[in-house]
Amino acid sequence: MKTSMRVAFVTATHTSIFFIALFIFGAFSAELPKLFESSVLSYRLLCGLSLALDYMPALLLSGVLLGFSWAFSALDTKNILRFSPPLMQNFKIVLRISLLCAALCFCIAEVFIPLIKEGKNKMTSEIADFDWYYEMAQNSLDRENFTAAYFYNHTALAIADKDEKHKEKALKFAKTLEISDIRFRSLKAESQSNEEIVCDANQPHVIPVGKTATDLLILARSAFQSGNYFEAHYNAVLASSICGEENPNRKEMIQIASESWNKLEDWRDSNDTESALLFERKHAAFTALINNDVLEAYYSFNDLLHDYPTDPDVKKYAVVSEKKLKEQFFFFEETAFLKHFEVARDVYFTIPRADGGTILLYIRGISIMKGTGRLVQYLRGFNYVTYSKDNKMEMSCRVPFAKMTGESLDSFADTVYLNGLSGDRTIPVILLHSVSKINRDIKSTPVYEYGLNIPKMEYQFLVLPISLSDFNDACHASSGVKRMNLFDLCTFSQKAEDFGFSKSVFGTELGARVSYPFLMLLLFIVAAVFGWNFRLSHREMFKFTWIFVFPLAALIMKLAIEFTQYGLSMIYFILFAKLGIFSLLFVLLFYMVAIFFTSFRFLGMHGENFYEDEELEID
Amino acid sequence: MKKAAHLIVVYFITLCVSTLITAFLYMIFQSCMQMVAADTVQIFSFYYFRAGCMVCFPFAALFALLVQVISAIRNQNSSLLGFLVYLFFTLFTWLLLLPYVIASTPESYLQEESRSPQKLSTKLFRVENTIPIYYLDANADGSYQVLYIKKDIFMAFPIVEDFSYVSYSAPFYDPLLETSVGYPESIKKPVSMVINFYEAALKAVQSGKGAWLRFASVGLSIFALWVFAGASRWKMVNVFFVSGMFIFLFVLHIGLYTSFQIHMIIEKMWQHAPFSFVSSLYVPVIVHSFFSLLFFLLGFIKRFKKIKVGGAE
Repeated sequence: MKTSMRVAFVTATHTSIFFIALFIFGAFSAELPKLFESSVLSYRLLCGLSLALDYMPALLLSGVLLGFSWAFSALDTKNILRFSPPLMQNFKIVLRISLLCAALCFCIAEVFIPLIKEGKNKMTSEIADFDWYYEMAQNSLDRENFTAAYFYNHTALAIADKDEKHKEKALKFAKTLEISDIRFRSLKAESQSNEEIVCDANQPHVIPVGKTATDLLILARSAFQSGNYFEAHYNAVLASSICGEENPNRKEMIQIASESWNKLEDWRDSNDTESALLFERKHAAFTALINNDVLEAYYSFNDLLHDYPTDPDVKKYAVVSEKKLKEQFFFFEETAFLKHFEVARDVYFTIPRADGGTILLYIRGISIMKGTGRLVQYLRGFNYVTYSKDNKMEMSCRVPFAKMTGESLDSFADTVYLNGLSGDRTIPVILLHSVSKINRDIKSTPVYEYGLNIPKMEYQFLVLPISLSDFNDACHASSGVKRMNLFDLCTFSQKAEDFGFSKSVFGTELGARVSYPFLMLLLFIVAAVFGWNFRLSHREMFKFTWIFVFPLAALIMKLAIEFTQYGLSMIYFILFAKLGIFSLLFVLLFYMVAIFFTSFRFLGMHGENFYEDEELEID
Repeated sequence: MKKAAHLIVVYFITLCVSTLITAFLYMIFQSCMQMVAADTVQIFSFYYFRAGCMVCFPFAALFALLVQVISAIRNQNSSLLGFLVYLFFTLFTWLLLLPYVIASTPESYLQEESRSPQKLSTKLFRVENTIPIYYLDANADGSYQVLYIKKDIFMAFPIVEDFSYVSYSAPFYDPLLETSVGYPESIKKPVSMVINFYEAALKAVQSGKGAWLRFASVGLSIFALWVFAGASRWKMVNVFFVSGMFIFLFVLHIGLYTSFQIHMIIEKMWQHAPFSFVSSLYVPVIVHSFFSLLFFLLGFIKRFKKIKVGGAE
């Protein structure tokens, strides 16, 4: 058998036997957190896997060490000299195996262990999410918000799909909900109460109209001429609202608006009952749209669309009102079942404001919707609090669901204070209000609290003064430095302090993670050196009793790796504190030199007869 | 002769190098405990380095003894001279070096230092007991204006303000540094054992010569590990066996001095056993004598067998 085959054989056998043993041990000895009954088994399996993978570098290292020290017994090393061809030949094998093992260790640390942790976290968070949705449902029921309660309970039910106990709990709740809902409906029919929806008309448009005032005026003119007075009025009003006071056409815009309105009023009086009813409804909905009461407009046109699906005015303004609604609201239904795709959980970070104040965010979960043209993120359990420069609370706001989109910086030329962000950056805009697509009684609005002497402002949406990419980085960072991937860590370590995180923590972790494969490579080559020095005598047969040393070797290697990594982490810490990001270069350079010298050491080894040692014979 | 000289050199080099490395890390660790994140890093402190040298020296000396055995395995040194050199260094380490260094370590090096009141840096999150806490401002009385993020509050605002929060983190002054420089979970136990060993050794030194001799009995069984230097024809097996036994004896010794369970067992045994005329203080001596006798016996049997077979290693 060739040396490389012997090493591979020993390493693979040793590693796989103990990997399986550790896997079984880990699975049985796992401490179980609060979990769904149905995920206990998979959680145990993941625990076993994570323990086994945790020991994997130590297993590989001890395997390689024992493998080399056994494999070298095949060589007649007596007359081997320093830098002799057989050593060179062996060094190639050493390098190949070391590189392979180091790459494997790196993959385990960067890919497999994070994946398993993710899986474990998902299982533990499932039950926490169930509790959240269940409590939200309970709370919605207390506030007699039945549809919201249904929604939350439905999601809770979906989460607990495989778990009988929790599923039953959610089903039981669904039943109470049904009973209370019937009672509520009858109550409501009696009182005929209708909630008044108040909208803040002063909010700027987030989504630009995309047309100039002149374009709109031309549209209004042609619509007026063709007798389409709804459109003429709508476009004329829109044109007059976006053009300045000094616009010479302003007068014409107002004129078209009022004339087309008069025409509409005339038309109202000269029609039969059926069309009069339709017109009356269209008129009311249209008035709401013009007055920026988008909710009323949306639901009215939606109802109309249901009754008159072919009416061109209805069709057109149903689309317009939905578009206008989506500037200020989002549909509750969009968030249904999103939780299964949550990409980040328990996100918290701060954003410094240009005036010295601070914004603190805490979001329970973030789901990303892709494929809709632009990136949309839904924020579950969104909490926002601002502090002034002298650390006084200004405003806090919380809402169970918010929708975040990225908007180009140009949309906010002078409306928002943006910390000197510039260029064509995209910044996060968070819509706070959600409504139901069909039921106008369901509304989710934020709850506000204010500091002393702070004007009580309510917001349709919040604009965060950071770029969208920074927002996403900060989300990853708050899930903990260990769970960040290497690329995010690299960019984030430079700006961690802006978001309320310590730079040194991220820098140290970055140093440790980047240098890890090099450290392992070094250790594997060192193992080969030790393997040579403590090799089995030539042509010696393998004894069965020796296998008892193998687990011992794995344990000792585990200890050695842990202590080495811990010692080095302190060195990385100082280096990062002193040199910043350049410490990485320094560390890598150090490893290169160390690897070079260790390789040199390996090549510089020799067989037994190199020294004329008189004691050799006595022994 | 050359191999014996080699053993002497190995001892001193290991002693020096490991003392310096561990003292350096000790210095960093101690400095970090006093530091505040985002402040300028003041690592190099001669005081802590000296303290590190004194505190880590006993462990470096024990390690040097282990390295001597490993070196003997490597060079297949089972000569009488090598044995005598190792005997000398064992006696030198356990009877002279360790008690002297431990006794002369100033107490101020070992006590937890009273921390000079420093202000933790603000505008940063610190995770304490899994609760993220945002430090807004420092008050004059040493407390802080902070914001907790209580993840388990569902219905109310989960960001809770506290105007006079006091950070009780230990041993690190700044909990943020603990995430970088604190012991990872995996080595907490070994580190606490090492600390227990030092405390037990210190107590033994302070209690007088008899107590120290009883404590040093672990040296006897560690010394006996020499017989395994040439036990197997595969040197690597010898290395792992000796290192494993070394760790085992070390842990056992700490257990004999600190573990409550082991003490209970000993107390019980002493009540029923015929050798109750011996004070239970001598248990470590008895245990280690037993192990050393066992090791020597095993070693001699092995040697005897080898001579009989006539194979030379």
